[in-house]
Amino acid sequence: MFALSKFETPKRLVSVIFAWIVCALTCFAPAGLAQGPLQVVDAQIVMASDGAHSGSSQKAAIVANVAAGYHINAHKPSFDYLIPTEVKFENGHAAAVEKTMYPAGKPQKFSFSNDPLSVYQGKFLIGLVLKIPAGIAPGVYVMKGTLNYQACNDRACFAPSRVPLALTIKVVPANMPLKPQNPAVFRELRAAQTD
Amino acid sequence: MATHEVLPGLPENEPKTPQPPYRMSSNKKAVVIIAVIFAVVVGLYYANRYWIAPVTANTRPAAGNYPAAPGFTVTDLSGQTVKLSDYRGEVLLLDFWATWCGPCRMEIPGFVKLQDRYRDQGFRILGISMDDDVQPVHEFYEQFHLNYTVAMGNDRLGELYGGIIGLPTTFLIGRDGRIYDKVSGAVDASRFEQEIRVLLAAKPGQEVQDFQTEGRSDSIDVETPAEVNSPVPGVDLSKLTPEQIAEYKQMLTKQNCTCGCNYNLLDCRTKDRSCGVSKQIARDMLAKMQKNKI
Repeated sequence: MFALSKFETPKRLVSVIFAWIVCALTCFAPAGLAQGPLQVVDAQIVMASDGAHSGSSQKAAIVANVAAGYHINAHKPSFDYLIPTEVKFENGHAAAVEKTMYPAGKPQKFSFSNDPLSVYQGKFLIGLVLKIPAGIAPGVYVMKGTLNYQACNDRACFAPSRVPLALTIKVVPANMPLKPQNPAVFRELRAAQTD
Repeated sequence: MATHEVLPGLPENEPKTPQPPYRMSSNKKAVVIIAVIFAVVVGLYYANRYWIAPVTANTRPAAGNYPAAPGFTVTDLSGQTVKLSDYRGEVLLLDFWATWCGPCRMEIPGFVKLQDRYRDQGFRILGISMDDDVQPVHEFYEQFHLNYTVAMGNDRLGELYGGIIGLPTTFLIGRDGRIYDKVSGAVDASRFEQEIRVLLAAKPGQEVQDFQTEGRSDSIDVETPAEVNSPVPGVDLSKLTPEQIAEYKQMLTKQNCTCGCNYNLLDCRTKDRSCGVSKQIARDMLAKMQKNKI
């Protein structure tokens, strides 16, 4: 039906298609800096247990990911003029963030800097310890916050930005046992060096 | 796992003979592969049309007719008013930067040298800081011995210049007030030197024909004040009646943006003014609407 004899071998045909796609993408690729994305970080919160008792502490972790090709300054950046990565929560009546544990930044050399800069790239974890006040009624409570960061790539920097965070705390009666959750994340968090 | 189906026309109580696993003939394989290629081609076409091209399209009119730099008024670090028109007849390097931007800090010492070298020939630099606070800008100005004017910018000014996505972003403006080059991201300041010489060689008010950029360059897509201040940012609605604007906005809410933002076109325009995709589609829809009204 079609003159496809030279592509009789499917593997060869697949290779030709792949090469064609790569070529086409290269031809259409935009020159210069891409416009955006402005949001180069995504983040979600995971809890160490399925609930919390009033008057106790509960651990949570922010699992964040910086898009490939970008970096954000560590919580303790290399220079005063750099904007640090920070977590901010509006402490509500249901809980307060007692402690925030940031990972140490990774020293990374960039073409625009003579010295390595302390940055976060790819996946990183931030630990939170929440204090649940005594006497609070069982129920589900939400605390809102943000992960504030300022991103750059190797040639340019982008305006400071933030990822909205929502921390859902389920307060259960004191006689209800708690089940641990996300053990792998919290093992990783314990192993990570923190500032 | 292979499945065995009853062929049409065969009574169900007939003994079923096991069928061999279904294998596609080589002709069918070819058809499937061609269909995949076709889908990829169509996908790339639409990706280019609605996603890539609006961002990269060279908006400069043909025949070297470069866009006029949008006028603005800003306040410099000493509190003096600075207007773009103050630089009329000179070659101006307009640098959007910030003190928290490492690449900007690397680039600026080279600009200081350029300013020294070409000041007497009519070359000027205007730094537009996108910092929120003026204090660190003052400190930087002193520490780096800047020898050119620095003023505080804002998002509106950035939008006027097509939306400043990353810092630094540098524009090179000729003696005729036209933008000849735009570079996003830090480069060695010497990258601009030959261009500056070419522009300095022109007479005031004279357009430089056949201007050649000296390296990586970005498309120049400046906006007019009517586009910046529009209820649909980036789209000039000044010729529409209020009823037509309402109708147009309604149209935009009914179509989703294809940039991946999950907003409709109107929301994308207002929430992400830098999106080249929604801007192009919104402009196309306005042109179509106006054409239909005629």
